[in-house]
Amino acid sequence: MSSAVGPPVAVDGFFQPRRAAFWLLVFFLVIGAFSTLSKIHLSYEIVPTSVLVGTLVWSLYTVPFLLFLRALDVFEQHSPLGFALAFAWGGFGAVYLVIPVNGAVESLAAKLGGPEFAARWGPALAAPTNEEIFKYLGVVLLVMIARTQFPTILSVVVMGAMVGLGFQVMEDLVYTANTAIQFPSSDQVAPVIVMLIVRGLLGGLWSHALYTSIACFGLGYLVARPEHPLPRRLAVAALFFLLAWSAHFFWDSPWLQGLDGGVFTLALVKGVPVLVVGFAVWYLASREQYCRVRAITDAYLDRTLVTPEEIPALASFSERRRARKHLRFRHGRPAARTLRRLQRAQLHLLRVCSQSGPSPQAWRAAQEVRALRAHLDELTEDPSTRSE
Amino acid sequence: MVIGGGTGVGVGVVPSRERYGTWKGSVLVLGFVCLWEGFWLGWDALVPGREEVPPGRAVYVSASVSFTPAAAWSLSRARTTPGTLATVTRRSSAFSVRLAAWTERLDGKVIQERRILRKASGARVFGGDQSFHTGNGLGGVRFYYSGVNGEGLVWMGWEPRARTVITLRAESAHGALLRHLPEFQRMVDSVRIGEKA
Repeated sequence: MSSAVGPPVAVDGFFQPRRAAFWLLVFFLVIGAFSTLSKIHLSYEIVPTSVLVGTLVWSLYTVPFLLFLRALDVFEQHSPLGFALAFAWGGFGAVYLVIPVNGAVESLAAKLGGPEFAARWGPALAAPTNEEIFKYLGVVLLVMIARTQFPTILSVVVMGAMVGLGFQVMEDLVYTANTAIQFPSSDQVAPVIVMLIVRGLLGGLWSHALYTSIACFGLGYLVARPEHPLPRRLAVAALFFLLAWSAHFFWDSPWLQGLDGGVFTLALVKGVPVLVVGFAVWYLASREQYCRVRAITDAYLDRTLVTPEEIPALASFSERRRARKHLRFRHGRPAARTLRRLQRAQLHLLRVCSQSGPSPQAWRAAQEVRALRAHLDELTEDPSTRSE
Repeated sequence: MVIGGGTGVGVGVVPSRERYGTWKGSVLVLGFVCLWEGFWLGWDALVPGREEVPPGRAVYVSASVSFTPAAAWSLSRARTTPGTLATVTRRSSAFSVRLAAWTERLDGKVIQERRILRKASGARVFGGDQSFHTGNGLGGVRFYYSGVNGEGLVWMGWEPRARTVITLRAESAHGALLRHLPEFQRMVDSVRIGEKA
């Protein structure tokens, strides 16, 4: 067995009623859900159409992000419950905890620096400080609940992105309702469209999902790299939290506001650097996945199940997609679909091997891979060879 | 043991199960949440944030709308947003001037304001058809409300050139509104619309 992958470790689910962290998370989720939904209901009483249309629009907006994050989670190791808890923490727990302290920090900024200062710098001081902390705490609680669900940095980064996405979507909905109340006409659909453009399209890519995933890279390093000394892991965790805080601060700050070109240019100038940092973090986390895929393959599987050429493609979302695209071009859509199923079966096999070693489940998963590979070979076989 | 070829595989390594408790970590997280919230909310409560306004000096809500606070009323920095809101307070009473862009008839904004008061503050709203006019040219409707935390008067006026609704709100603890009513009325009368000199 390769030393790069440790002995198989049984993976706990996220439903852990025997662990205090689970109940602490549930406690904040329940009061957060009650508080946040009460606020949304209140908005519904004042601007019902905006809240209904906003809920629909932001729900649809969430879907591609969810699918994308799910695809990036190479081993698909987190259960739907894990994702649901992460999303709910962002949308309910974190939002509930953030609202009063954000108000207090902005109020202090006004009292100590004056209303002009608060209007310019209040959001930049309050939001990164409180929001990054409370989103991060949710991921910390999830790691405490099911530590074995987080064997890689990417597994923590994906969870962070999910918490950030929950926060982002709920914040978008609340802002949409507030904008509808303050809108200069009684039209209740226009403010939803305005918010979709401003917060969804101009600011959505470089928002909370990205900040929290940057911060969680450090947390992933802390929990998934026990071979490194603790002070170093703590320093890396602190560094990446600071990086996420800085990215959020930069976005919320009034810097570059006088820039020519309007809101669109401003969003690009401020958002693209944040996106680059986020991309670099995801790239680093994905590279670690490549090492892990190779280590598990070397440790448990022979070359017929995962070939050496398939390893880089399996570890990368874009490479998997590229391989399918290539196959579709050469052999048609059914072959590409079968390759997709084969890739998923291979990733499932790798996950089972990492969790339970060469067990009966792994054997069953290997059978599935063999069957799909045989099917794919049939679809991609040269017809002239077949006739012979 | 390697899985591959046609070799069937029996039960190999039994996966180990990690056993650990989360009590200490959970107490730390809960403690941190309480301390963090308590620190900011406590600090905010300790800082008064009042700014004395010299008698007779106007407070500008925006470049074109101002009012003169009554004597001994202070500007509340936390409840003031340049360009849209200015609030002055005295003991348990507050007087605010809020500006909001509005392109339609005043009635729609009045209905929305009354609905917000009813739903958000649980207040009962009375009147709404009473018109008012000040010597400085501001006109509109006014109404009275009474809620759990206090009672108040709202004057809503329309500035057609700027397509802006000006909402003046006088709020007091129960029983204190009448005492401050003359001061509120003077502040309402002092609202001026016009560019800063």
